[in-house]
Amino acid sequence: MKNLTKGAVAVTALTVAQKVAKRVLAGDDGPSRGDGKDRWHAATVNLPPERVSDDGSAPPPLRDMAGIEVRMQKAPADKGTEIYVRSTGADVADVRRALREAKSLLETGDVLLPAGPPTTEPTPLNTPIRTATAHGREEGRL
Amino acid sequence: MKAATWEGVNEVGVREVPDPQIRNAGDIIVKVARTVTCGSDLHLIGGYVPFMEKGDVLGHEFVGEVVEVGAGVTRHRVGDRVVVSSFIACGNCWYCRNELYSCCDNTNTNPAVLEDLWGFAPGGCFGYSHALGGNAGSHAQYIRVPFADVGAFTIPDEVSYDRALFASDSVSTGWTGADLGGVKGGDVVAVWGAGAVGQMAARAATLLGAEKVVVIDRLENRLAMTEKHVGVDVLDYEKVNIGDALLEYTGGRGPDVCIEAVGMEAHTNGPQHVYDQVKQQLRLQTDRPIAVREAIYNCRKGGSVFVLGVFAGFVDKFPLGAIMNKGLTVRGAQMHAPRYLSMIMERMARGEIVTEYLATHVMPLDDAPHGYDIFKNKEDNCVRAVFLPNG
Repeated sequence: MKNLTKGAVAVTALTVAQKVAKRVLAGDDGPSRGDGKDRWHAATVNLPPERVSDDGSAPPPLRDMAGIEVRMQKAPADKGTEIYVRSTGADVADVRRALREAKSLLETGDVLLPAGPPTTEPTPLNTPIRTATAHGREEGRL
Repeated sequence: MKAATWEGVNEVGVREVPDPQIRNAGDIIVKVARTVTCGSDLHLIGGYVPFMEKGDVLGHEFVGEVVEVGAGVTRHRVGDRVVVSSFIACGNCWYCRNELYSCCDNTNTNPAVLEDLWGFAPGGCFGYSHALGGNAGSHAQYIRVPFADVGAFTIPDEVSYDRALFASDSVSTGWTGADLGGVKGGDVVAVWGAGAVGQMAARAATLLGAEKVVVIDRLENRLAMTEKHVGVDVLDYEKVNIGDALLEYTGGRGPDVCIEAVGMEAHTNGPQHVYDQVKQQLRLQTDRPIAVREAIYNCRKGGSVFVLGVFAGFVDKFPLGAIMNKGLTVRGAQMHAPRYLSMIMERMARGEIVTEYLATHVMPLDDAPHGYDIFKNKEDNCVRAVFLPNG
């Protein structure tokens, strides 16, 4: 029970720290970040623009996605190509996932799958972690 | 297969888990020959990195034999003896191309957690919580290694598993601290922590040309081991005042490079330790930065401080004034093993880096709970406990 309590306290502490970090370190004491639908989500791919798209169209899986707007531009110096995606109706979680996957596909030809089969089991303590990691590429600051 | 797993805060178990499978074309499956405890595992076990699930396989420092290769693997074949970087890197993102492999953009399958906590997420790591990808660890009979062409290196015939094992993390981490800390010929270097990583940072500093290297700890066996096997000077902070001793050691200048290899559960004598311990236990700070404070305080003006120990969150009484006013360069990193592993293997083959002595306790995987117990409590002069998952 002592360890269970310690674990619960640790989870709570880091969760609070995470929220504090989001607000304080990110300078988010001002306006709320909102739901992400009113901004461009951006990732930089470590390839020159001509290797990201030879005809200016969005790379997969963004290419086949409805409800988004995509623009691309060369990044400064040797940093590759900036891809910007904005939702015009698509779920922001799907936008984030698709953008991360597009970057990975372009850079590595693949999207890394989680380890498997799973070795873990659900417990009351790890429910928040399991929920968060089930959507690991769909959330975050991207 | 059999694996050593996280079962809850301060609980390590051994249980049957499913065998790993090839999931991506760049994967290999490695039959683990040696896998070793690391001080950073203790942060997971103690609940300081609370992103673990019951049943997670621990371990990230290992060697073994390739038993299966994915369709996209070109550098490895079944039967190869390999040492594997504990951090997973894709090899093609901007960070990997700039040899900052642990910062890889594409290998953490759960980037959201650490993006929120730290601003951006580092790459994935074996056996190091779901915040770093939830990859099953190496304390098992078999392990899946993604992007194997980048992170797995063939062990030369002249190098034994026993020696190569510590290249997976300890030597690579030590080398990262000395190299990126900017150690160069003629430097005086101080290293806080005489564990395996601290010892290897000291060795790396010597090989990079440092004229004098001193390692600071309080455990007599580790200090004696450092003197004997690494061949550098040592200071026992329970016997001398470290500030005074470093002034004397450096002609009053302070060390040129200070490498902190202790991490978030640092210890010291006196009220500072009590203060940090209480704040950490009350979760008013997540980490105890005692050695970092000392490194910053004692570093010479214009010197370099490298934070090599593992930290997770936030600390109190961080001496920002000293950093600014002394003009220090402060840098930190997880280790970028693929940057160094080929060189480390060559040096190991030549006998310039020797590590076998770090394995103070070798035991079957079934004894992993005991191994972690003596490692955590530093019983029986344990420096590292090595497990043999396949006998």
